[in-house]
Amino acid sequence: MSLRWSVGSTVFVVVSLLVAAVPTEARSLYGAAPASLRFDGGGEGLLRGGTAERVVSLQNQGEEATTFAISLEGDAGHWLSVASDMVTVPGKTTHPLAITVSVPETAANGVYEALVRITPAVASHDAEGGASSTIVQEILVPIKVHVTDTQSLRLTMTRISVPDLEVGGKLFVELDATNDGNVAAAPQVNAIVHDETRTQQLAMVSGRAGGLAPQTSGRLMADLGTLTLPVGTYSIRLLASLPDGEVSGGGPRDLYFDVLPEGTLAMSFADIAVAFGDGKAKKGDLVPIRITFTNTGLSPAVVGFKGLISRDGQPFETFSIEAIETATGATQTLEGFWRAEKTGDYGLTGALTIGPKRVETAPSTLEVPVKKDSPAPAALSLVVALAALVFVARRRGSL
Amino acid sequence: MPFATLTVVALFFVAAFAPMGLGQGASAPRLGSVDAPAEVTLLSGGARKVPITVHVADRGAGLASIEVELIKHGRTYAAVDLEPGNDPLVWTGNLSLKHTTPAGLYRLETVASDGVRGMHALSQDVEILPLAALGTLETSVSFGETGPNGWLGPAKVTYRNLGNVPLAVALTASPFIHEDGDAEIMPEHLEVRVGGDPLGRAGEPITLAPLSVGSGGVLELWLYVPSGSSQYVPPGEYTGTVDLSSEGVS
Repeated sequence: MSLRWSVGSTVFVVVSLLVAAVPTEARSLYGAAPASLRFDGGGEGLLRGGTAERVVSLQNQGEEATTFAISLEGDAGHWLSVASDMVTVPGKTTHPLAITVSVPETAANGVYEALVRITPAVASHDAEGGASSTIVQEILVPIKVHVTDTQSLRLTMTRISVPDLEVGGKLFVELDATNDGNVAAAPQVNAIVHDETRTQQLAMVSGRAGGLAPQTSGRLMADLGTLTLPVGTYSIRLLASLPDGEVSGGGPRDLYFDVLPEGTLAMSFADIAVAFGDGKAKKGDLVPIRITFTNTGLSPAVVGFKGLISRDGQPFETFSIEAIETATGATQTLEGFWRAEKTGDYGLTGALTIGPKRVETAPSTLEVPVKKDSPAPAALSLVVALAALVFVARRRGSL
Repeated sequence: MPFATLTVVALFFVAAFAPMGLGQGASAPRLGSVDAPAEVTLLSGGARKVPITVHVADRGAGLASIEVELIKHGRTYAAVDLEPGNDPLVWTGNLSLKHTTPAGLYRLETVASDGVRGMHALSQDVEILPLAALGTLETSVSFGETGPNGWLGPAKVTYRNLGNVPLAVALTASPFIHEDGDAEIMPEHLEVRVGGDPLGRAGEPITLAPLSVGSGGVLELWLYVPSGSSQYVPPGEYTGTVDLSSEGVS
């Protein structure tokens, strides 16, 4: 069944290899209970700085043992923790997965969402024909964390601006602000877009900026989404607000922005550096992958990373890091983690991704050497110990 | 005559609305305690046996049976007749719960009876936790072979909701990488169909129809191999990953 095609061939052979006879039971069956979690302190909410733990039963009802990668995502994902980000569950068994939430001291009141993503590590298989695919089942456990406490939520805006964008591009609002309160502040921005003469309303959009830590100043960005506007100048009325809080200088403000032809705002990045761990790792290590870059373009960008990890020169698996907003002139670090499950010489190639656009990054390598069962250290220790004994004995004899 | 009528009605009231403890006295059996979990996690695609242990306080004139029922909104979802062990005051059994038993708060009713005159009942709450579980028949699929500018498929993936809550299921795919690692077929070229009808291309996540409890479906995966003029497509084997993410919907 290893027929191969040659490019330009006019005779094609199509073989549909369906999976063998359909079994009566699922070969792959994973479950999680409860299907979702709510941390709410028994209905009254969790206090800032408080912790709570719940257990999810992770079920592997397949025949084979399966290793699951646990990742914690979402706005409150970094509040969550698990004992290990990899768990192996034998077939036909259940594993208690304890999930702990630690509410930061700076968290504002509200309901925060997170997601526990449970992904089975499925062994790749040899292709039996021209193309094949591994079927992976992920389980997503949505989590809500209800935070309540006494709080002071106050933000002072010192500057609001709207960068120009290209046709089909995203509309961002930049907010320079000072957080005068005692909790993190993430302002909501509502906007109405008009034509230049303000005679026609074209769109109502909104977005939320990232959080600003208490008693700090900084620049926040709110992503208001993609607008389908032709080239031209537009008026925008902005209002920044904080639910349950106060914003001074948040508007409403009337500003203008331009939609420019595609390609006008040269998108460029400089000082791109890729770190695949520190070049060496032990088998089983969790290896950080960091891509640092500076947005030297003329507009903010939402930048992610997609890469391919090769092992001993062969493609091994794909790797990606979620995109984050990067302001003009800002230096940003994308960070993800990858488990070195096997020994080998690994390579990482990839690209920064900005929507459909790609900026290739330099390749990086990682060596995961075979652990040698060398008796040398033990033997050496023995020799040193014997030498010490002889030395002490001689000294005592001489005394 | 009016007095006699009143007496009959009063007795009927007692019989109909006060079964617990009816017949208690010197001859009625009496339950002590019931050991049962307050929360039950079901088993994906199978049956969960929930152990029940009942401690009898008093066998009375003769304890004939102890029945345990799991009840919600007046409907019995599971029941078991317990058996006495070596100790005649300890009765045990397993409630068998299917994976489709709806999540929620139930009443566990335990009734001891002497079969003739007396009975005694205890009631307690048991919560069935929501279980999100998806099963597939396939762990890998092959598309077959073709030349450039051709379609491969269908590779079929059969899936089913084997938990007790509806599931939201989304499909994503990775690029299909050439065996030498120097070429790839992007997931935009993977088309997902159901019953022959296109559902979408996997360049973006594809949301499948919500899966109610016990329901399933068959996905037909078709892969388009681009023409050599549009991109570099060397002959060889290409492998990729199709990812089904499921999330319980409460």
